Amino acid sequence: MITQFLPALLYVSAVIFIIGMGRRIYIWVRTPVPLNIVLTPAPKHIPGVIGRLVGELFGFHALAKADRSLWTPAWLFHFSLVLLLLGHLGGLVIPHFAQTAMGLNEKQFEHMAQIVGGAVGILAIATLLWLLIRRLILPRVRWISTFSDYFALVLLLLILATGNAMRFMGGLDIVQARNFVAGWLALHPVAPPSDPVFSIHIVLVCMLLIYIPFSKLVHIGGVALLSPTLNQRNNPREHRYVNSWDKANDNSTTSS
Amino acid sequence: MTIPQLHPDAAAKVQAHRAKKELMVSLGLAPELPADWREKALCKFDELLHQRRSLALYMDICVRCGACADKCPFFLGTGDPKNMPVARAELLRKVYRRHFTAAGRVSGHLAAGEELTDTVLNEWFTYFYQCSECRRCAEFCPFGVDTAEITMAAREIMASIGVAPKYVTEVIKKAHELGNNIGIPEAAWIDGCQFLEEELKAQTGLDIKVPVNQAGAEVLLVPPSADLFVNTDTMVGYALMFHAAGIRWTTSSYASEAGNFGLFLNYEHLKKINLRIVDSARQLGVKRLVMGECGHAWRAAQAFMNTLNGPLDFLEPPCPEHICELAARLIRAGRLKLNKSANDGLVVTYHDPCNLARGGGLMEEPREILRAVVNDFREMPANTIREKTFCCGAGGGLLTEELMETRMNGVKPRLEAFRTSGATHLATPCAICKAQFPVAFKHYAMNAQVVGVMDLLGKALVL
Amino acid sequence: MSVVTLAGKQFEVDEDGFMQDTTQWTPDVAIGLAKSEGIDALTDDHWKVINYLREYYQKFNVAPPIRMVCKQTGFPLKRIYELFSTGPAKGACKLAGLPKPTGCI
Repeated sequence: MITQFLPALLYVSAVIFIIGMGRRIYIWVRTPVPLNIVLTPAPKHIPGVIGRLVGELFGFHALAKADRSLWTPAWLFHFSLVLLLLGHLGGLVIPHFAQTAMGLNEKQFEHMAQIVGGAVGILAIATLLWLLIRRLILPRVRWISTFSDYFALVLLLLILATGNAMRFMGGLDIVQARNFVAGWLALHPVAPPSDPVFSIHIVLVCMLLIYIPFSKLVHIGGVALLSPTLNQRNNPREHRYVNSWDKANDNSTTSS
Repeated sequence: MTIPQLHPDAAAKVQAHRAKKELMVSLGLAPELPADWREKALCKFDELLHQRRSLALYMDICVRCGACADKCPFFLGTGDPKNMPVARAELLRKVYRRHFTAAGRVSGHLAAGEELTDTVLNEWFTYFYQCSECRRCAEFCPFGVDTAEITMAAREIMASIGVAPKYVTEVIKKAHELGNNIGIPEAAWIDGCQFLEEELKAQTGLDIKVPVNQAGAEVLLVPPSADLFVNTDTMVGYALMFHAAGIRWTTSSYASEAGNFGLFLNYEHLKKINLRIVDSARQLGVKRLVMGECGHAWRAAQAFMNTLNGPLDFLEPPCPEHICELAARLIRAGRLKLNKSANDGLVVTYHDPCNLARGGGLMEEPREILRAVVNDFREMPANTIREKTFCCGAGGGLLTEELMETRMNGVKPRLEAFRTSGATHLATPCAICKAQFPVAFKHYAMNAQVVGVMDLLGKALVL
Repeated sequence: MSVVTLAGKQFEVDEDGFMQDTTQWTPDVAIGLAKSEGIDALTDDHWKVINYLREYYQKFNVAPPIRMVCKQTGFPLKRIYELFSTGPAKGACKLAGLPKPTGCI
């Protein structure tokens, strides 16, 4: 039964995730930005704006200014999450390509994956715990925390824990896992690996995929860069912004 | 400033006076809470969600990380957790989640959603009028979530169902009827300017003009009306500078106010008040438009005017120009002869008005001027100036008696930074700041003074 | 809005104690309101300020600029704050029966 159930759940979750995120992003992009509300000092030109956004996306620049003791675990956690996703891609989806690209034989590759993946897995869970403890012990942060904040943390924690368990307990047959992923992607699902932790891991990931578009986790993937306070230019005097729902005075002679 | 202990509801009792029926009606707003106010409010909320990406995005993406919590002067000053920007925004967000998201409709409280009730509305009126829309929180938010946008939306929703403060609406009414926030009629404006000319004549022996409605002048200067009413030295500073630089300028009795309290209520009034300035510039046939020493005026003019009532291509760029930009330009060009020692004995620091720093990026020019006109200029600590500046505590429509407790709490972080600077004079180009600080200095028994940048320039000018 | 009784007559005042209908003002009103501003008895100097405010208000329908008050009464600003601790725009206007000045002041 698990043979059919797990891939099916994954398909459903993936579809909900893609449509859910797509819908949210569509709504944000579609919604007009009536005025220039950029936070200054801000760049006057596009390359500067790109620089600002890159700084926010990859460096969490504003957060670094705000609170180093939050920036450190937050940045490390997100960084390790990205590495883990890349690791899953390289190790499970395109293992042969990844091996060749890195110039490693299969044994070296597995060895490298074990060490790097293991270290990053521990880093991710440690920084996530750090964030959870911070949320619990700082009175002001605890005060603003809702059920959904803890739910997201615990869900991620469980996903990381099951992932790490598979790596460190050695119960997972990597070949089975790769076959499962390949079959799923080819729309010809095969049986999941025999390790039951794998199935739990997948179910938790499905829960996460379904949860993301409907919760604060929609902040993934840099959608915050749609924020007008960050992505506008400080040039309202040189360049007339037109408010799309209030064009009453729109007899501009300058291009917009 | 140290982060305070949480004092739940510490500021819950501080609330603005509500505008009465006649006042609301005169601004085209609902006279009072209608029977179906919940539906009306949610309808307005929905409309705004479709009109403003900032609102739509900021309702969704906040992760409640708390980076903003200790950045707000009103939280630092009151310790009331609902004055943390994230918690303030949650007041609106919880209603958003309940009524506009699938999770909230399905699971209600589990998704931290909440019905719009009398209690929630009362909280809105309390805490969205304890936010000065200073945007310091946004500066530190990893997603650029701007609580000012959320505050503005909440105020706009409330105004649409007949809930607005007396102070803000009264000022808007005067701006529409008489052209300025104080309610100075044309005859009094002209009389006041003539009075200043006489004063200047007595002081300097020169015929220094404070012109009104001079068609064909090169520059239309739009000062905050408080510059004529109370901060006269600032007005005198403008006049002396224009005189020294040989620029023909004028004020307008129709647009005798730089400030725009529409920004503190809703889009419609923001636009309408803003239009007076554009119309006046057109009618007087001036070449350039210069804004006086007012913080939020600069945001409304620099960032919004071109969109709201533009194009402004009948005026020479940069349009509008800030008086500090103009003064700095004149100093650089060597068109002003200055004697710094005229301001000796003063230890001056510069307070960045929020809207100049974070809403317009105007931070260098005032400093350039101050360095040119005072010998002892010093900065406050780096994390409290420029784009990290602390609000004076009474921006955003809070400058009213009944909010005094919150105002005096909100000013604390700024005063603490001011104390460490060792300055005797706090220079700032904003009429709200200039009104708030003297009250705060008195309240905290501080021997300090607030001055305008142009006041000091005026004193240092050699005519 | 509330009602105060001064010198046997009733007056409507706003939340901050300013008269709603300035035409009803009589010197008794100023005397009656003085207590609320912490003034025991109105002196000639107080009246000088009050009378000037009224005179200007009747002509221009607004309170006069502060510097004009100083000039016309001959009192430096410091003295006016001694007379009316909340200042010319608040205490003095209240006693003179002017509406509360608004705006950025």
